[in-house]
Amino acid sequence: MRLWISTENLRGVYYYSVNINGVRSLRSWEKASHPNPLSEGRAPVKLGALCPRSGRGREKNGSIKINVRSAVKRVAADAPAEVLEDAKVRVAGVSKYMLQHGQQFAVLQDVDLYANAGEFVSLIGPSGCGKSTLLNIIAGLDQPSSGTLYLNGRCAEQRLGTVGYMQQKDLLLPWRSVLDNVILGLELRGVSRRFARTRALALMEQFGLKGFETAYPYTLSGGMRQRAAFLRTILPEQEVFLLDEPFGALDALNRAQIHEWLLGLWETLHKTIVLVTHDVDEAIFLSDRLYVMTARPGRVQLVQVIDLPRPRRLEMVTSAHFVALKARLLAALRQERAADL
Amino acid sequence: MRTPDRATPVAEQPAMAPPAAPYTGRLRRLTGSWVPAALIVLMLLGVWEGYVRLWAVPKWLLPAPSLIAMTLVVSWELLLDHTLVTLLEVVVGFGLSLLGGVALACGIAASRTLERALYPFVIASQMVPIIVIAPLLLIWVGYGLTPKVIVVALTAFFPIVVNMVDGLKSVDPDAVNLLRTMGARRWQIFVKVQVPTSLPFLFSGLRVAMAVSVIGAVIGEWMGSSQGLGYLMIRSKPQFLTERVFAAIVVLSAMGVALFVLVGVIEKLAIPWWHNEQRQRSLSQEE
Repeated sequence: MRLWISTENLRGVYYYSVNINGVRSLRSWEKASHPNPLSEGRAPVKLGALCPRSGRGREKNGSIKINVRSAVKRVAADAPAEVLEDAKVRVAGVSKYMLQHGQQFAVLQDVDLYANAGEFVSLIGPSGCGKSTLLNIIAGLDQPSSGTLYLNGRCAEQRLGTVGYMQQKDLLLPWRSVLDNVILGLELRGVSRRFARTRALALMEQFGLKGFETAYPYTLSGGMRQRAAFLRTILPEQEVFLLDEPFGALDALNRAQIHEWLLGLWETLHKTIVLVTHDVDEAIFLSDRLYVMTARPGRVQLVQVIDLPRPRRLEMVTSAHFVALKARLLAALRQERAADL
Repeated sequence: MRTPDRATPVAEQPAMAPPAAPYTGRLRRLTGSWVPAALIVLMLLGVWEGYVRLWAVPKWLLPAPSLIAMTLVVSWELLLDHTLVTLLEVVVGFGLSLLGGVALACGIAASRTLERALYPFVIASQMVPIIVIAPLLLIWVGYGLTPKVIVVALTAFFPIVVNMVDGLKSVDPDAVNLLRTMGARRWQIFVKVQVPTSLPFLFSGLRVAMAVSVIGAVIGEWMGSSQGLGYLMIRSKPQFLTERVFAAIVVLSAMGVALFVLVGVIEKLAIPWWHNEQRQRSLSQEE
């Protein structure tokens, strides 16, 4: 849980952002990366309010001791202000720093994005713009250095297992048959194997895997492996799915087919999808909205609403509107590359 | 080969290639099987037999293969009795080291503290020669089955532990992350990803362990025993029954090979996906 604290002195008001997860008392704090937490719709807590006994935090040598329990209570009281009703996923001011050769550099800087319920959102950008890092953070594999992540309108610190995540590699386990690979997510949640298998078998045909239930993954073609990985991702029926370049390994013909198939499926599922890709055509064809990101550090450069009618058809790729959108996005990407050089 | 073909000039040779193809295919299949090994063995045996007969080597110095074969037939009952004893030692010792080795490897791979605490001892246990330990074991636990089983277990558990630990650690971090995003707990990741990943490693460890555990049993018997193939060898040597020593060696090797093959068969049954995948990979490489 991240907490905003404001302090006042003669020079003015200062805001601090503190992570109070599992801490009983705070000894250090960092200055907020955002100048004003109100931009996030959250009221900062006055430092004095956190230390009811003395009326103010005991400040000493730049470190401070506060009553965390009361701080948590305050945040809980403010909770209604935090809930953003419509957004399934909201990334608010997320930055990620990493160390390389002993030097700190920013992978993501102040990334803000959201995805509403039932929305198909894409992230495109040059390689090295931290797209995969961002998905790792949303999935909970990684934590942001600063900023907050909201899932279903709630601040989600421990979020592993709440969103479905399909990585670039299909990661089918070679010792499990296709059917047993597909039910992995359900199995880990304690669903009985028999029930999980029945559920999966019902979907095998829709995913073009009928007849391959007992086959081992190495016997499958690339497209089938990808579909099996996708079935494994959606079977636990989470609200949000993150797809990290899932079609990267497929050839153009297979891709076009799987795009149409995916859209058909998505329309029946009513789920939120966040797709990462470097293919502009793919992003336009599939998405409701897409974010163009810059490289090193990754930032959101452009948000583009794709107002092509649904259902999308393959012919739309050559329509004037599609081409205009593509030109605009390519220009944005090129500009980014030029700035990089 | 048909006669007209033989009469055709050399320039038309390529025309013969298609009918010749199945023949070379069969030849390759033959050469790829056990035939070359059998030929080499037969050749060596022939040279051996010829050398012993021509130079009239005394049988206590080097018995002829035919004499060894005869001994195998004549004293099969004696050999069988001692073989069963050695086999029991190997099987029990191997089983113990399998259980202990797998448990130890799981502990070492699961906990860094256990790894720091135990791994040095695992390695140190192999630095002390088994020949030194075996006589001590006789003093401590007496003659009988126990000291041999302990020697076998001591020699066999090392390759099992080392291979299994390597296998448990060679897990694909992406697969681990996949399970984490599915909300898996640590033990679930261990059971569902780490253990299956380690099985091929475990089985190559088991094959090595099986080979050395036969040696371990013989060493144990040499140090002091009243039964077993090792004992039979040590007793037959001073009696100048060299052909019986050789017969025991033949039985011992046959037993070792059979056990080794058995491990391979169990491996194929236990992890069929591994072999099929390997075959697939080698096939695609040939293409």
